[in-house]
Amino acid sequence: MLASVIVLVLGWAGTLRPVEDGASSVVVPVQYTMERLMQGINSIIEIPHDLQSMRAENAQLKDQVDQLIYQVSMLREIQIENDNLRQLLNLKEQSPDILGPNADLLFADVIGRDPSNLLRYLTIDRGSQDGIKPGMPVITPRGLVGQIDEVRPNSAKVKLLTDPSSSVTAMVQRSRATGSVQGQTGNSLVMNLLPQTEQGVAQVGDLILTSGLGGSFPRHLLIGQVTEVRQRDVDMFQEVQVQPAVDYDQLETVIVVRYFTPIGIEETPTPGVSP
Amino acid sequence: MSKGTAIRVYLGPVLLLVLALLQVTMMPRLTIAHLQPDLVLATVVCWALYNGPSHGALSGFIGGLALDMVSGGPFGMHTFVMSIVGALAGFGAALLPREHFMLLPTVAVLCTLTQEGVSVWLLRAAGWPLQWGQILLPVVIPAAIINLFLTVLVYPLVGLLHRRTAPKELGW
Repeated sequence: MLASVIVLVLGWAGTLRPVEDGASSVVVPVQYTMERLMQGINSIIEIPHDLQSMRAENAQLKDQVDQLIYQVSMLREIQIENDNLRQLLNLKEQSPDILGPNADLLFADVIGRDPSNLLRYLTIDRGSQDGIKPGMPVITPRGLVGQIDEVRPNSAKVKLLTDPSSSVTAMVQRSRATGSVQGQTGNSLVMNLLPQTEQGVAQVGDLILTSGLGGSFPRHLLIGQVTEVRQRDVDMFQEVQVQPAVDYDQLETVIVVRYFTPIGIEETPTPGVSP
Repeated sequence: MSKGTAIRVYLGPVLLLVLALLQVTMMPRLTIAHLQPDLVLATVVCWALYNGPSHGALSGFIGGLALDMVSGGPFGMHTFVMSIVGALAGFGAALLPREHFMLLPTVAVLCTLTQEGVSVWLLRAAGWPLQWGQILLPVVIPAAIINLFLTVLVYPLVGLLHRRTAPKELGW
């Protein structure tokens, strides 16, 4: 008791500091080692509990990852839809001379393609319930896609420009020469009925646009680019091979032109449609 | 009605409808040089090889009808063409033993050529300006080769379905 009182008094007085320091230098490493050892032992003891909690946490994280993947996927879809709508807005604002001031456009998703290798059709998820009628042009911001061919209440068939029975009046942008673009089996287009001239009305690289003649399609819509010119002196007309501007195999969304102002005619609706 | 027969009667048309939907949604993403493999044709051909011309024609009729519902061409074209193809494949199976290594490739190629040939004939009659010279090399012959490979892949699966649903033969 007396000794403890002496130690207490000496400790308070600071006399034992050197002893404390010396003891500390010996004890601390041992304490450190012991603590580590205990942590290791504790870790081993807690492994089953940790495994259980890790499993639960893992499952929870997986759920979170799944939810995040879903959210990212939804956000991407929203972004794509947003981009499409922006393109649609740009198309309407920047091209009033193409579609007319009161153009009525409708987005549609592609839900199927023709099973035959001989025909080129798309099925879209909009139909007569959405005001779609046969003959309406179908476009993308890249250019002309085709024409509505058959309509059902909630779907419609689009005859692509590359279908062998498709035909559209067109013109060479550079020379303004007009002709007829027709589909060919094998996803290509040919423009014929071009007049024969010495200079050649079409050259490789020329852009082909719709002429708007006939009123079935808006004018100045991009159709494609000339890839080959076939010119023979014995022929009355020359013919050019056209690479379509639109990649029909990759189409996911198209725009149906429910109303446009045909060339030279003010406010005349497309087949049977009112704006 | 046995379980196998019931599966054939009820599941067969549903399966062909699903295949037709796959044909217009999945197969266009698997094109080779803008040509898509014909899943319905391959299935009808294989089914006909296992079951003969009448079953082949019937499956072709149902498969073709399903295709016509999702196709943009003249309605009835696929029904007509696939019925012919199914019957033809069934007759092919009668000419050569099923185990003969040349049976499957010969029938697959012949059936594709028949399918494309009759389709062109019908489409021309309906006003499509198709020229044989323009489609034979770029479409018909490559399509026959593509369908040949697809038929080889589909044949064992259809064989499995055939064995699971075939009516048991009566014996002493």
